[in-house]
Amino acid sequence: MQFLRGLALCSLFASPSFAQIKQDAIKTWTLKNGMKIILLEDHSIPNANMYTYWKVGSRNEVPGITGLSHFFEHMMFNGSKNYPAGSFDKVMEAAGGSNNAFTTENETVYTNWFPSSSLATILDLEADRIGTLQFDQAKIDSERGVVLSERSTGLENEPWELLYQTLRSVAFTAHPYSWPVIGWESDIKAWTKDDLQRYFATYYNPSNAVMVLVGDLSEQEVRPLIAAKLENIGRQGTVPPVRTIEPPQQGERRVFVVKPSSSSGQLMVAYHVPESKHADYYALDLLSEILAGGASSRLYKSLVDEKRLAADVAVSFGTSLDPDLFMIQSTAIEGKDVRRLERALLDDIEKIKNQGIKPEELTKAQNIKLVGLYRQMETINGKAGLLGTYEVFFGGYDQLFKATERYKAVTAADLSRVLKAYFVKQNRTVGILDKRESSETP
Amino acid sequence: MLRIFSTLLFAFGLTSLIEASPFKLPPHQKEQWPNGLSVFLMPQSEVPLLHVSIGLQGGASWDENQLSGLASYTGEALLLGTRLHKKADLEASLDFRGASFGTNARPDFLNIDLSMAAKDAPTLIPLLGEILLTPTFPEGELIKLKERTVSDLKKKRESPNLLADQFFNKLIFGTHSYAQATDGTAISISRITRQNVVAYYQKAFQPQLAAISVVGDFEPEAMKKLLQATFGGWQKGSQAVESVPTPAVNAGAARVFLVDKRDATETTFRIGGQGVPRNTADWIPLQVINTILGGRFTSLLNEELRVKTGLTYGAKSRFDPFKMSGTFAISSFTANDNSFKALDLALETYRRFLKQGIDQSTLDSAKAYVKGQYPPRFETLDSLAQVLLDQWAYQLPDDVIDRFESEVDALTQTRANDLIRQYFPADRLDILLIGKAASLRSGVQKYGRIIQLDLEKAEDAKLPL
Repeated sequence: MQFLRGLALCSLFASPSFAQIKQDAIKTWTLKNGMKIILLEDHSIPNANMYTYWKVGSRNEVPGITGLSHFFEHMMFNGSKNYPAGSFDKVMEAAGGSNNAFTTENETVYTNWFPSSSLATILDLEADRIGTLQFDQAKIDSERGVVLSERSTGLENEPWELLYQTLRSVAFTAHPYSWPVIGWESDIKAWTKDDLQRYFATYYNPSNAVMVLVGDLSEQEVRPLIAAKLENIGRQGTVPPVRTIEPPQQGERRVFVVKPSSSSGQLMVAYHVPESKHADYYALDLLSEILAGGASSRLYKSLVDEKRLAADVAVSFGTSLDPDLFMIQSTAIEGKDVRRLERALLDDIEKIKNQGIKPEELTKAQNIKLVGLYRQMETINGKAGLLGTYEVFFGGYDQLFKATERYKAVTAADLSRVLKAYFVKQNRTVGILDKRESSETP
Repeated sequence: MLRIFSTLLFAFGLTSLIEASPFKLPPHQKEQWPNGLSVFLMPQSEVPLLHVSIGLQGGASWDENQLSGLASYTGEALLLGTRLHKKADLEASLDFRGASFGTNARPDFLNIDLSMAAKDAPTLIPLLGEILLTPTFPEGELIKLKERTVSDLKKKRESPNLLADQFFNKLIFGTHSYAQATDGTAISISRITRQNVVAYYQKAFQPQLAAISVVGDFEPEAMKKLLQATFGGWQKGSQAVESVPTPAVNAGAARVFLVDKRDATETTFRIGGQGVPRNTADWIPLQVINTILGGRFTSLLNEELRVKTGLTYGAKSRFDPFKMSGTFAISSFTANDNSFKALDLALETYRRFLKQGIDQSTLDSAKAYVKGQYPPRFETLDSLAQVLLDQWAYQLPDDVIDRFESEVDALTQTRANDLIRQYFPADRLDILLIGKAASLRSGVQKYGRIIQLDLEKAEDAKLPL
């Protein structure tokens, strides 16, 4: 059997759009209050979803209210004028629906999943909290306990969490990406009802939201319902922009976290990179696969397989509105020195910079991305997530249809340029978590 | 940051397929070949992808004593090399095409999964055959795999939520093979030799013990030919399907398994006992009932422990089914200082549920909920492939998916309350706690006989009933 030979980028890449999401099957319109609606009819199952993206996240916070965006997300379930505390979930579940929500540095997203026959009920629930959210002091206090538990269970169970939080607080000295989305513990314990009310008035302005609906729905039924329930929710003012720009890093930063019960060292190396709208996004995204996507990737082969220093290696590179980090993380094999792992990883990066990327590595990364896109399109939820993400982070949902071309257009020379531009010592932050600090210095 | 753990929304495990008034499993073919191999084909053309799931009887329940994790480790070792190709070649070939290969040892069978672009089937299905039928288990690579696996398992000790179900199984199943960790422990994996791997492989990898389920964008006749060329020559073996014995039930006093994690900031807990095997006739009604107790956001447990009191980020309950038995557990976690408050409230809520049963309007809501959330569970190719394998592995009736909605509709309040008395453990509730033992010990005596172990020792301990 021939491996890796004669495989061009395959016919999949030839099609300008995906059969699963036809661009002309998407309807979009903007309500009088500025909220944008994106609808994709998909009758594969008798269900639908509603993903509401609010362009507010921890980047919109300031010291003293860190974590408030996420706490606010919790409060959106705790009572509005016509649906008092506790009834939002009860009414939704009795209608066959379920929900969740998530907050990141950049956005807060509310996700409802329901049989399409329950659309009117779900819209009514959603509209009521957007229009008339209430803040009950007792609810605020009990929800504070829930969020403190959420924070502590993350730190208790997720070995990367503490190092991740600490590293970001060092890599960003000015920009709000410096603090954790869940917030600092002291802020969680201290924020007030006034803070929440101010947040609601400032950021939950319909013009600051995009609602994506995918599923067994028709424009005919959706348009009038949305007009009746959402169009008249108004709010004054405009959303203030995030002013702070992270100044360029002027030299390597290092951070150490001591965790006596850690069984082996953990390493995180982060480089500042541009936001998702930047032209280099696609090259960086492909680079994440070339470095750590699968057992044949550069770093896995070198650090895990050949040198046997690491048990795993991964890249974390997501979507962002402002310049963020490209993070490489690796767990040392028990008994192996995490500092040796660091040196080996940094050597590998230098080697890749000097030698460049092989054509088959680039093609492999492009194939991985394409198959990954198709996996997301298996479900109506995957489709809603893609449309919302491209709308919020890439300048428009229609950019999704250019994604394959953009991955395909990346050349080995682009990758070399990106590596040389961002993967330099001066631009990196190195974080290590281990049982104890080095004994070399007092 | 998520509002709720996503598992809470889909808390009721392994049931099966699609609906559309009511949902029916899409058309598919089932065959058994002369070599004993079961073959299931379900064409689905929405995305140009293909998913292959292979099941092998035995799974972790065939792990020898002291060698927990053998099935899992053997599965992982398949990719270390074949007669024709080295590990690096196999990995490169899969990665290059964006394919994803994985193995997972479950208590009663071993799962092997391959997801790929449909156009790559003519290359990757023969490659899958090669990986399955001609692995060489090279000694050098086995040692490296062991090193990584042991290191991973030690790291896992830093995440109590990854260990809690494993420790709870140990408490519920005593010396039965279901008590063993399916992924093994640092100590048991260290013991495994190449000989053990080869012996497991020879015992379990026989076509009459296997099923292959293919779902995706293919033409059935062409796929059959491809599968025939790949697996048709697999020689039938002599190993019979050995079902494990039905586990004994704890007949003594309730027990508290107190696992000491000295730097814990919270207590992770499970409360419950034996549940039901997967092929229980009442499986679907039990899922509806459990939805009310702890299977959705407004469940009784989440309402009390999270919504009303803010003691935890989430509380739930679930039946985890195996072939010959299963577990039932209430699960949650809370800050150290709130441990007894949360435990007492969970127990009080559960006892009230047992005593008062459920009312008609809550039952109606739960029925609407499980029906409304059913179709999206079968949108992906891998979920459909898994449904067909589960039917085979647990000997479920062919219409188990198709009748979901009618069984849900047929559940009355009286019947639901009868089922609560029949299936939900009531008399003696075993409890697992992972946390700071020094501050928990005196307070938990009231729940039962305490068995206390350090976290590292707990992994390999046997807890006879």
